[in-house]
Amino acid sequence: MLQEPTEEDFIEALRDMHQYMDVTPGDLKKIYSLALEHARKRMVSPKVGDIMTETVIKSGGESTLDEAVGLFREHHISGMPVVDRDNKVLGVITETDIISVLTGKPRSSLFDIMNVFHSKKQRSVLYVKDLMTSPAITVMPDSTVVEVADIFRKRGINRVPVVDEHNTLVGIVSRADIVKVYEKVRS
Amino acid sequence: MIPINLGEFITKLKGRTKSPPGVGADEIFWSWFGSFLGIAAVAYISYQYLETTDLTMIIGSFGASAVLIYAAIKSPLAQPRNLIGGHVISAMIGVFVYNHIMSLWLASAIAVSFAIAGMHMTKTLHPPGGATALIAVIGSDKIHALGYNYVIIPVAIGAIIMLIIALIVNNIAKNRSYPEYWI
Repeated sequence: MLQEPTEEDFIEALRDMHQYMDVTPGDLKKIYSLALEHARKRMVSPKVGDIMTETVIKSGGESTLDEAVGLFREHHISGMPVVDRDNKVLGVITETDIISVLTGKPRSSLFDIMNVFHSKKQRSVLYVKDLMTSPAITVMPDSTVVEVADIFRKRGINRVPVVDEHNTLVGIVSRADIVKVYEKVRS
Repeated sequence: MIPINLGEFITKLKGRTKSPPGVGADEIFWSWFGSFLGIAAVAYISYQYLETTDLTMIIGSFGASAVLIYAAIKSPLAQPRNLIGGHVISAMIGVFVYNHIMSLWLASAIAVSFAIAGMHMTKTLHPPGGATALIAVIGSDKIHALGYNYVIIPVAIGAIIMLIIALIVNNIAKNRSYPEYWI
């Protein structure tokens, strides 16, 4: 296996340039190491466009709460982007959004949720556009996986819609997708 | 009081790498040849044509520029942007400071330090620029009498003449190529 170049190698390389180079062998070695590190990061950090799911379960803003819940149940998901007729992202709707609206509390206990379902009160029809979080946090296909992982960590979210430069939905990337990349890199 | 880790301080003083290798005979020749022609050009114009006028085409800092643009041609400090930009910005700062600050020691320090800051800010760092700014302050009466003309002649025109020589000499040499970049 090829070893990391030593300072002597860099002195030889400088000699091979046959000209006065305005850099010390030590600095050159450091620059080389840093550049190598950047290259490694680029290699282990594919773009979002490479790992995103392109077939996205999504909802229209005019869909009702019951329709959204139906999609969640049918596809075993807990959140999805909300788009307009041109497939432009308006927001994101999650189970947490729905429960917050139904219970009237930002953080609800199981008791709160059960209370809502046992309530005899007639609920008015709720629309997705009134429940969603808007504007949505989105990423572009050329964002790196490291950048997206950072967004997940800082914002405490589990998925993020991927949009093109016109804010048109082109995919979705989830925490699970990031984990898959991590496993791939480790193996 | 600034806390000093003496051990770390001494380690830093020892240096941390080896000196770069020297260059071959051909490189020494081209460095000599380029610098001879470059300085000869500005010196000839100055002493043959401008000696009897109020103008000059040569200043001390051109000697330092010659080291860079004929002997360390790969250095970012030696590129045309740095050569021209560094000299011109420093000259402007030097003349301005000389015109506004009477105390020579203070004007000297302000001119050089602001020239360095100005060159850094404009990505035109060229070490001889510091001398160009200093010459505007501590130079001869002839230099002082030039006022802002100093920026044009000798500084800008002189640097351009030296650059033209560098573009020719450094590119006729088989193993040389200049510049690395323009802007």
